Amino acid sequence: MSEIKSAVKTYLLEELNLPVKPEELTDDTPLLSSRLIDSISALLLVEFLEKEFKIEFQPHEVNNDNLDSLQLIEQFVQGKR
Amino acid sequence: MSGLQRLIEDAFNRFSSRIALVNEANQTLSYDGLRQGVHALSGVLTGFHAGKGGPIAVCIPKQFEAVTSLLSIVRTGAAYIPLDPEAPASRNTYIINDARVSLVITTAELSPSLHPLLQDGIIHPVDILGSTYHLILLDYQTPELLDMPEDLAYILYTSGSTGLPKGVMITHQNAMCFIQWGVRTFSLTPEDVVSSIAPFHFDLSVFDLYAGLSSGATIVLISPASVKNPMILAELIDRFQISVWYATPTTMKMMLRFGRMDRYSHQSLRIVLFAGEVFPMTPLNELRARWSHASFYNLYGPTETNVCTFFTLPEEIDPAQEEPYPIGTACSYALCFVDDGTQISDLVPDIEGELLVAGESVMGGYLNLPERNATSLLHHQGRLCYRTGDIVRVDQDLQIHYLSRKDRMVKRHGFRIELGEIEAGLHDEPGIAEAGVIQRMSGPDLQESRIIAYYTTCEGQSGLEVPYLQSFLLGHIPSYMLPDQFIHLLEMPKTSTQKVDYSALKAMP
Repeated sequence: MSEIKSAVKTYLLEELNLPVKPEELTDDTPLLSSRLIDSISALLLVEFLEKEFKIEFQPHEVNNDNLDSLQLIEQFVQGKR
Repeated sequence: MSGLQRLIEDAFNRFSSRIALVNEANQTLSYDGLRQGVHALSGVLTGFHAGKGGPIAVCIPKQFEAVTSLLSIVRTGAAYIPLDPEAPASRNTYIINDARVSLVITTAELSPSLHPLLQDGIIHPVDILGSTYHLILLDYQTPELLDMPEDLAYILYTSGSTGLPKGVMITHQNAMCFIQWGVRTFSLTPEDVVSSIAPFHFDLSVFDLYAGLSSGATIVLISPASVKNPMILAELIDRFQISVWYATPTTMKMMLRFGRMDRYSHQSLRIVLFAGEVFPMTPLNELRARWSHASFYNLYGPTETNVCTFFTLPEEIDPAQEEPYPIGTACSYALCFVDDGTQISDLVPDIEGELLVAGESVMGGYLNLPERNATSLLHHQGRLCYRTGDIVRVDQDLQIHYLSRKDRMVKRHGFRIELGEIEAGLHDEPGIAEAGVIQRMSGPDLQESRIIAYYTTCEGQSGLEVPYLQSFLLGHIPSYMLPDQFIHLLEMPKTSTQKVDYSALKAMP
């Protein structure tokens, strides 16, 4: 697993305490659309990504297209860097 | 013409070239454009609905088509029921059947999920000025059997304690007195840009839509997804130069925390209205310091009475003020009384009890629920009064202060305990995100009362030690109010209005 995905996964499991086993949280596990992450946690995740990877979200970029899985998050972060 | 019909036609005539609606994609619709859509769709509706009577339901996402549909129904003289497009189809189907709806306006995207549950319905796609509507005709319905007021304007379904939603019937007179009061009190003009944050099935939207239209203002339609994204909300105020902002305290607290408010001056804001829950002083003062150029108002009123009291916040922030601001005094069309358990009285200093509301805004009753009407509505001094279920206290200046919900006030060992006060204490612990405290009766004959505090923690922290929670709470509440049990939850159950779902908590093992 890449550095980005692994850092995000650690954050989701250890900081946001997502109710899912580590082995079940795969690259494609839906995060927002499955309601695994609620709207407040999504905003906390955005804060984490901005700080950790020194990127900036535009308001409309906080959405399922960019945040719904580890894979999509990685793509978004890489695109921003 | 009934109240809202005249309001709409007047607005079309007076403000024709002005912008009525704008959406997040920067698309606009003028009053003239809206009039064309409304006149065309209402013509089609009249054809399908002729002679049927009964309400027409609308299940359309928050877009121009939703507004066009609501206004078209008003124009035909029928009552409307706004459905929540994001609610489970079974809930919407329940409402459609409960209100004997014989016509549903929806979209091509939503009709497949709604339609199979409505046996024997026939779909008619209709194109109007580039928008496609799906009209579902339900001929088996029998609206003539309903007991509805003559001048019914719309029915708003609110969550009921039985788990089934109940339909609050609002007449044209109910709606108009509040709308006219709002336009007057907040001096709305065609120059105003009004936020539409609440979805149309919530009563807060009545102000946005009709006070906005009747003053020729521009209404900014904000989608439910964006309401959950404070970054977008803060940006929308700036982008559209919104001047009237009507939101719940929860929404505004989220904007302070996540909205990146430092980026904007929000100088356009003139009026900030909040309602629906208590706004705690710390975030309220923080917001007022940012938006010091705006006037703030606390509006109060259950769906059943619409807004019935209001409080104008003083211009200066008083840092010593810790108690939340009062809900104020009655609006011009409302009369308030207090039932202190022994008698119903006018508002006098120091009286405490359940708030009763009379006047033009009191609903025409719940649909199909005569028993519920009998317990919620009563006659006092020859006026129809609604029992709000809210416990209030009246101060020396005759300002009304909200204390709690009647069913949130419990007695234990002779002490009166306000469960919300325990929640407020828990909220002061920075690690706690949300708290919901309930009373559970147990033991033989359910005589034993236990107070149970459910809470969630911030940023995924684990649960807190019980001895710590107890000693922390003792800094905020007397010892007789300490919960018997603390339970850490990963997620707080919520109602459709994003409030703590106490019945779900009570149902927990």
